[in-house]
Amino acid sequence: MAGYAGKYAVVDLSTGQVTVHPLEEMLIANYVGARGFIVRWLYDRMPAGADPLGPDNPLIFAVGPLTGTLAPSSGRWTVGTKAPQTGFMSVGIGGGQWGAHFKWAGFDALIITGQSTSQVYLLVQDDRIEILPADHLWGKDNTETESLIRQELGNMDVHVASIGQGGENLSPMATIIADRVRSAGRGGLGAVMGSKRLKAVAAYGTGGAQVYDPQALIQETRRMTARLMEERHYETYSTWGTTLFLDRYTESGGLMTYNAQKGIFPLWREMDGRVYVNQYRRGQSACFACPIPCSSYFGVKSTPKLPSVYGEAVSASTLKEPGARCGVGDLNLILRAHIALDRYGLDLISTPATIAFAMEAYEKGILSDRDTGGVTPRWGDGHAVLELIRRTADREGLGNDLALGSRACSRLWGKGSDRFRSDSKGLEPPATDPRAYPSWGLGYATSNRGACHMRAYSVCEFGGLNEEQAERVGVYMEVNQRLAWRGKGRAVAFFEDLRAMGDSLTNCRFVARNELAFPEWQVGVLKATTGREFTVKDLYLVGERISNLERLFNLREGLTPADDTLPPRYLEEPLTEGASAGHVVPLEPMLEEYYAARDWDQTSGYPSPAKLKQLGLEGDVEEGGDHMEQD
Amino acid sequence: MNEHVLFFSLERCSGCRRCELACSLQNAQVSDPSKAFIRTLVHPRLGTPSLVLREGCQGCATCVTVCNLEALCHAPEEEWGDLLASGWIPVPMLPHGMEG
Repeated sequence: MAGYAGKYAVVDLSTGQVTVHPLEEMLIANYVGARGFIVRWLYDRMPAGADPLGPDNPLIFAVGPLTGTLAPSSGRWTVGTKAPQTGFMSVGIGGGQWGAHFKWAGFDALIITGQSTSQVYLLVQDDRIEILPADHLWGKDNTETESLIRQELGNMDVHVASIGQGGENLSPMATIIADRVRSAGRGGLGAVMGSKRLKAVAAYGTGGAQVYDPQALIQETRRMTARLMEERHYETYSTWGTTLFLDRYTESGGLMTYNAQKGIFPLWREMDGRVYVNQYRRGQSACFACPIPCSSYFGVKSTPKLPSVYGEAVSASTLKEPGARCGVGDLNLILRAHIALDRYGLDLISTPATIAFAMEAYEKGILSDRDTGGVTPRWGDGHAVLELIRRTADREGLGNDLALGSRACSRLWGKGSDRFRSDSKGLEPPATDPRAYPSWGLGYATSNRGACHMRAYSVCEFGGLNEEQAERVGVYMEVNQRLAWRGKGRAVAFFEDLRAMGDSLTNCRFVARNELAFPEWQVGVLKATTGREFTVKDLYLVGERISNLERLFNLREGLTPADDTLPPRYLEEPLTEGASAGHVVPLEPMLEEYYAARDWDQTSGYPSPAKLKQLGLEGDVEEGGDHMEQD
Repeated sequence: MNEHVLFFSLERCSGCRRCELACSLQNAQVSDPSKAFIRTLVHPRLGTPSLVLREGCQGCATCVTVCNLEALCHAPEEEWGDLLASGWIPVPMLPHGMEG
């Protein structure tokens, strides 16, 4: 079966049973791969209302038809489940090399159910899956875990996706990390893995990936790469990664600073991309088969108090989250925080966001020195940030609260702290202030997994759409105006579906950021790899189907339209300085436009019967239910 | 004798492995690095890249055509001196009989 390994495995950790199943044709035709497969299976296999940390919640790893081939950025892997931080579906996508090895080992997906009584890890190797003991790995961080597994298997080319202490200790901010630094699974997917007592999934494959037309794949890859190199962002990403974006956020006044009390960080020039590249970076690197070397590796020299450390994969989030958001301007300490979060397997966005939330609570007297256990969460104290990250991973003292995320902390601490929390549906957004970028604000509000910027990744406010692209999106050029709102409801709905389609192919957002995201560019590479004739229209429908089925899952789990919102700060407190001063997020009109574009009922939040029929999802909703009375 | 040598730039190489994937597609009709004549070696702990060739490479240079970073150069002898002087590295060859 060209493009696909052609089979998936179901591992029941309660019984130790492993079964292997052929991939169904209908699944491929309607969902293509990766995120598409995960959404369909989660909807069908998870009993409604399942405890995210219980045995009934499946944890699913999946790759797509292009994975492990020459197609641009085809090393990506996907993992999904019902997330403990939100209670809704969360599908995360990571880079590195793990996805390619998983595919070469002979599988398209791995569905993990049940709960093991002892600590284990899985080895996926050449058409076989073994459950191996992991009691000696428990308590180790992600880097140590990778090294120990490679040593005991005697294979330095085994690739490992694992959890650190964050996942072991069931923090809803714990992620899953592959290849030491490639994170996926916001919303606590690492905790779901921890609840199953599953430390890691190690993959090694020698089978390669079968390709339908090798020469056509080489030609398509060249054609796509040449087009990519014409994009404005190609040169910037290749040279700086995303670290140069602090310029843009500062210029717009939209860099969340001091927990979004400000939009400009006074110390930004002391810790921006130029300082990183000139003083710390040693080289640029790329994920598997990716034409953009947006990643990098670096060294941090020792200080009188701290040893030297090294790391990889610095991004704008590294600088924004433990940096500006927490008021820290010392890049030496920011990079140490980045490394610690990867090693512990804690989310690079949610963890610093929750620490920043604690800093504001301390500033306002909601937390006192009695509560903080000898660490003072004060703006700009990088040492305090590092110590709070450790305590969060170990769930020690205040860290036991922080490990739950900022929404849970605001419930625990009360005293008006709800006014300055940052999440939507329980998940914290990145430190890009939505008051400066309204379509990002709408994207935070509507994202099926909570405030994730990567669901819509609506680039219209970042460099813009050209006229032809705007026509394809179905909007006027006005959407390129940063602070305007008209057309952005429609644009966000369109982009959410476009990204969902891209995720079924495991496209990277940075490769498929602009032109290559459109299905017109994907049908050729898909044909060359699989031999299958997907049309442009088919692929658009795949994206929309994925978005709507995720929505149906969330509605079944209790979501209502009231959840599609932003916290009070972004709706009621205008920014006070810079190019977005005076602005809040104009959410209501954008949301109205978004619901209309989606053909969703404003009251029930359900897709209309006509929309469900168009997407072939009419059988997934009970007829005559309360929600249908609204139509 | 029109001998060519494959050079690479350590500064430009990102370790993306597109060269070996293209090689295996061209020469073995499968996307499988173990079938490629050029191999990307990524350090298992630090993620830093290097390249090596194994015996059997016929110099088709498909690897060069997919490297958008221009980190590979298939050069005739008259260019070797310039390349060496500019910091380019001849891609080393594995010893006879050693599998890549």
